[in-house]
Amino acid sequence: MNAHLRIANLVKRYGPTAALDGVSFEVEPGELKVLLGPSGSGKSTVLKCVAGLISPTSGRILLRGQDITDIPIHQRKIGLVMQGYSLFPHMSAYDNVAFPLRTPMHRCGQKELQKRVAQIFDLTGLTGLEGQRPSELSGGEQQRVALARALVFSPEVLLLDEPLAALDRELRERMQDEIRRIHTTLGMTIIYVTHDQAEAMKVADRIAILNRGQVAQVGSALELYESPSNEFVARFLGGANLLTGRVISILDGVIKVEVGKCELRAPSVDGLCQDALVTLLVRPERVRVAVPEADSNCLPGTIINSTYLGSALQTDVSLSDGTVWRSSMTPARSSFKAGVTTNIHWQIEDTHILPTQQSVNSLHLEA
Amino acid sequence: MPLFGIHPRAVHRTTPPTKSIRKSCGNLLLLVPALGYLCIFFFFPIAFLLFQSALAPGNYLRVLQEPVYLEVMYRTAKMSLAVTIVCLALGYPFAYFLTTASQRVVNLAIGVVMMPFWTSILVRSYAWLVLLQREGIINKALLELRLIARPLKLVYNLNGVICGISYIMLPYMILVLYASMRNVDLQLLVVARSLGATRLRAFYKIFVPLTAKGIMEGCSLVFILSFGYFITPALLGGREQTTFSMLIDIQMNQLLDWRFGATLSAVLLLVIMLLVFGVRRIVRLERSVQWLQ
Ligand SMILES: Nc1ncnc2c1ncn2[C@@H]1O[C@H](COP(=O)(O)OP(=O)(O)OP(=O)(O)O)[C@@H](O)[C@H]1O
Ligand SMILES: [Mg+2]
Repeated sequence: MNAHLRIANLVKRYGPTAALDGVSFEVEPGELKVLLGPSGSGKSTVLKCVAGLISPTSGRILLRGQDITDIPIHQRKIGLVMQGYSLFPHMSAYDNVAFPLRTPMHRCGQKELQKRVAQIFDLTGLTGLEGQRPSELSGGEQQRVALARALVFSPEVLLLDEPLAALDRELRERMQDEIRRIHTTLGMTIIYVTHDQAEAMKVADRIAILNRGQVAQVGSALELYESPSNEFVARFLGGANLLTGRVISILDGVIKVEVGKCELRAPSVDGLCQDALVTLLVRPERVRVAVPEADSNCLPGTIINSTYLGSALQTDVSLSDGTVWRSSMTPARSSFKAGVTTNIHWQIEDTHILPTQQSVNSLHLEA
Repeated sequence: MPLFGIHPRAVHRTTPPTKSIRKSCGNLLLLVPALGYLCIFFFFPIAFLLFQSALAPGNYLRVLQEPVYLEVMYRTAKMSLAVTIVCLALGYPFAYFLTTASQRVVNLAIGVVMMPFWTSILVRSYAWLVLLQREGIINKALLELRLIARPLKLVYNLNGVICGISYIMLPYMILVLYASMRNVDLQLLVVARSLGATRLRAFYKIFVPLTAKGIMEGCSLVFILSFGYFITPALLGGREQTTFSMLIDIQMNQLLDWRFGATLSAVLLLVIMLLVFGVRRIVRLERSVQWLQ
């Protein structure tokens, strides 16, 4: 019960469609939690419920164990940065940031106000821009003002809705570091919404993946990437090579899976029995083309194309049933010719079994 | 054909400037009917008026020397100010309601607001008589309910005039205010609330300043229109409510002193123009918001 923020079974319906369909997760004190998901998966809706902009159809939101679901928006002490920043256009940067401290809710003395605003300007690197109107600031500076305004009243939790979506790539990467720095400096609990998986992996302590109003999986970037619990997560986070097969034996922690006429091996997981249908996942970085390795899984195929990307050599291989697998290797001196018949290999421990069975291509591979 | 070369026809298109000049000349021709109309029916009469007043420059001194003219001017200004305040007080909440309503409701409400424009001002002013006079509906109702012992004097005084003119000016105020409110991002109010502001505080710290420009525009429009108003004060006002434009009417239609009437008209025109420029100066449109904070 030491979660800072607990979302319990949140449901939000708009007419017959459910934007949130039973979302539950927890945020630890001082954690930066990323909500990641495709467009329309309900990320913003979760934030709006937490901030109090909308009230959920059912479900509870607990802050330090206290139910805040029905507390009015201005009493929640939750900082919010919206997708478009929503700065007050008629106020200077200083007045924007000082706004919360002038409301009855967070009011403080003039001295204290000046001190706190100066501190937050310093922290967000805005010093010198106090007099500027939002229209006179660059996109990155506007973003900082919005951040400063949400931080200045020391909120319990900070909510960021795609805070960097409007910035160019270079600035976005700088701001990602900046937000991490501010996060560690203040030890603030943050929920950070994005649909960019690279950004999520970079800034997050832990990631919650949302799909159609439900939490698909929660975990660190490593856990989600290396052992996704379902096909959606596997595909959403990086490339995924998937095959479905039937378990033929389980021995010494290794299971053998029959996929068509081929036999593949994988580290065993709990709860599998003989003849069960399972889905195998192999990340492209683990798949090697035409480089045989001792004691590895091996499948024959035909090279479709091979692209040199500088940091990687990306090769698409068509298996005998037409499935295309992707390999992403450290580039050698030469790339592969299309049309060449070859073998792909990968380590047994790099084969991951997806626990939930879903209908991927059931295959009939030729040996 | 070179891939990155300039297409010969593209060059051709930009070179002859004569063509575009001829085209804009053609567009200017479209202005002629309207400009001609304005010249004949607006600029020419006004020039004639100014000319008439210039023939007797001593009249300008008379306006300043006889206290009645400045006094009426002052009273007209007070009445216009009262009308402006009433219109703002009624129009602002209404326009705000429109910004939060659904499109269907907005269409309906705008239709209702525009409806008075379909009837003549004369009819609408007489309609107020039906309501306000001694034997009118309001007095009768109040007497029936025994809320008053004797009929109230609601018309042929300042009250009647303010009711009548405000009613005619209100649509202008609402339309101007609504146009400016529609540009306000309502999300800002929600954000202000999440930062700790109550609903009321978010309204007057964010919404009102962002509509300051519309408020100034609506108010100056209504004030200026009321200032030169004639029919309604003549019908619903008493002797005390003689407006400046009624003085002009008396000079021209009853005393047949066209030159002095022209002088009074020129003075009225001058005062209104000064007011317009004065408001523009004070407002400096964008900066106006600072002033309201
Ligand atoms: N006011 C509303 N009325 C009806 N449906 C809504 C409303 N707001 C959101 N929705 C629906 O709820 C779902 C989730 O919306 P939400 O804004 O949370 O998505 P999101 O994950 O933030 O997407 P994005 O990445 O595009 O911002 C969407 O399918 C959307 O159509
Ligand atoms: Mg969103």
